[in-house]
Amino acid sequence: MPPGSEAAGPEGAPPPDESFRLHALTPIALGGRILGLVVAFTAFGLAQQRAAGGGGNGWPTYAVFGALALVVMVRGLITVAFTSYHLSGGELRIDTGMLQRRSKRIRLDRVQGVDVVEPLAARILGLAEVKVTTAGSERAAVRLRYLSRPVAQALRADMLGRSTGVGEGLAEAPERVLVSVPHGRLIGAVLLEMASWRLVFLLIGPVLAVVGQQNGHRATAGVGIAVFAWFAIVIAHAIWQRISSMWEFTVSDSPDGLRVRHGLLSTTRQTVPPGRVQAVLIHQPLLWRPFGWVQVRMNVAGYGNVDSSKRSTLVPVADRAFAEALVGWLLGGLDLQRLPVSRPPGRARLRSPLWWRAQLAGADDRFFVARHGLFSRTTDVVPHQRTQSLRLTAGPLERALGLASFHLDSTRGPVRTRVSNRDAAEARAMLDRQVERARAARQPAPSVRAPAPRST
Amino acid sequence: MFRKLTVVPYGRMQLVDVEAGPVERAFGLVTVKLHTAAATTDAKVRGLTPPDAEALRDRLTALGEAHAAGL
Repeated sequence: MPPGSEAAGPEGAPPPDESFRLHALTPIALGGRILGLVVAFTAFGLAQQRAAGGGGNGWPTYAVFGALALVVMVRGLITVAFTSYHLSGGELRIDTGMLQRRSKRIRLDRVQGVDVVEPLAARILGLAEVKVTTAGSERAAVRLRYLSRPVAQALRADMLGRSTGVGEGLAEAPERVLVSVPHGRLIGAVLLEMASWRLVFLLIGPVLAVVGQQNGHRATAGVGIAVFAWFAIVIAHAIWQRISSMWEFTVSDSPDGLRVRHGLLSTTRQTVPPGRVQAVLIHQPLLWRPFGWVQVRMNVAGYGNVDSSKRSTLVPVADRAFAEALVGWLLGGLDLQRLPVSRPPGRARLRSPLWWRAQLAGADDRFFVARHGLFSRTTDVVPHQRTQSLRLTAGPLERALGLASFHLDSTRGPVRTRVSNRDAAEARAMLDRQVERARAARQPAPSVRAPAPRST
Repeated sequence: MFRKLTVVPYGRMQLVDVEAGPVERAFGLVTVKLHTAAATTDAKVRGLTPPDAEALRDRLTALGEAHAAGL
């Protein structure tokens, strides 16, 4: 089908079709990591050779790396040469492919989120990637790699303006910062979050080493030290990843949606248009409790499971009061303190000895709320009109106890609501009531945006 | 042993599948499967005869269009 053969959007006459291309420096940014490796290895090798006083033994290695870099560059060049994108009316069209042409169209009113991502290599070159998320699989997302930073920002603003129906060709909408996470608090929070039972792994090494030493097994001692070093590296890496990706975390409110910005070396600026958040959870790791900190994560259709912990974080750490106010505002009129919740029947202790007391659930006329966790606590919130489907399950033990579990399905993401250990009749009643509530909530209602809460 | 009840609002259905595995094919039966935007939705009607399955699929599709609610 030739591009542009579909009828124009409902706006009437389509504006002149603008066509854009990717930035010429894209190949370097795409091959950034490999090119960096090549340069580093070459420099290292040359320095070593000079120290050793000549001898050309390293050249085959350089040839391999050079060929690799060349392949990456050529692939990047082909991508740049054969990719173009067009923004017209309410649609984004991307044409790609050298041999097999492919034309992708995205209806902007279906866009679930727009991210501007700057990986380190691209950032150094002043480039940025625009990632457009639509509902559906992670593969359905469109990535424009790379554009110059101002072009990327203008494109994002324009697309969001069109997607929310505010207008076309708009400049960046003004934003109001709601919360900005201080560095010290982020570092402390990440360290305390990581300090969980997983640290037990760190003890394996030293125990092995000591036991080996005492019994004269030098090999065991060596293995112990290696195991310890390995776990230490793994944990340090995880901590670094989390801190660097959540660095300078800022949440702002703007007319075209919620803006989330974060990153130390690679930065990400996410925008979620109004009404695209499907579900939210407020989570509190055990050691955050003395500080009253919580983190907030969200389900957005199309964010998927891939690097979801980065993209689905709404606030990595904040005071509980602020987090609850933020969630309440975002979902529109939720008061977590007042929402009535109930507890499983006492016989549930036979299935979940201590935890049953923490498995709370309840609903008002707009939201379903489920709490769980004895040590780390989590609160799930799903608005009724976002409910995808409902399930009731009962395994053999549950049936023997006359219990059942109630599941509320949302789009893919961190929020997976499950109400365990309910009386079978109660669970059934919960399901029936929820069907009614969801049906009522799907009737369109006028939405009013209240002023956003700000963190002090 | 394991009991399950799934409710899918018509307006939430994204697509309806009719499929048949090798065993089902041998018995001339098919399964109708409902998909929503949630990956965890697991709504299947097993062991239908092909004409019944097609009728069910068409009814569901019609109802889905009538109640369409987006996301």
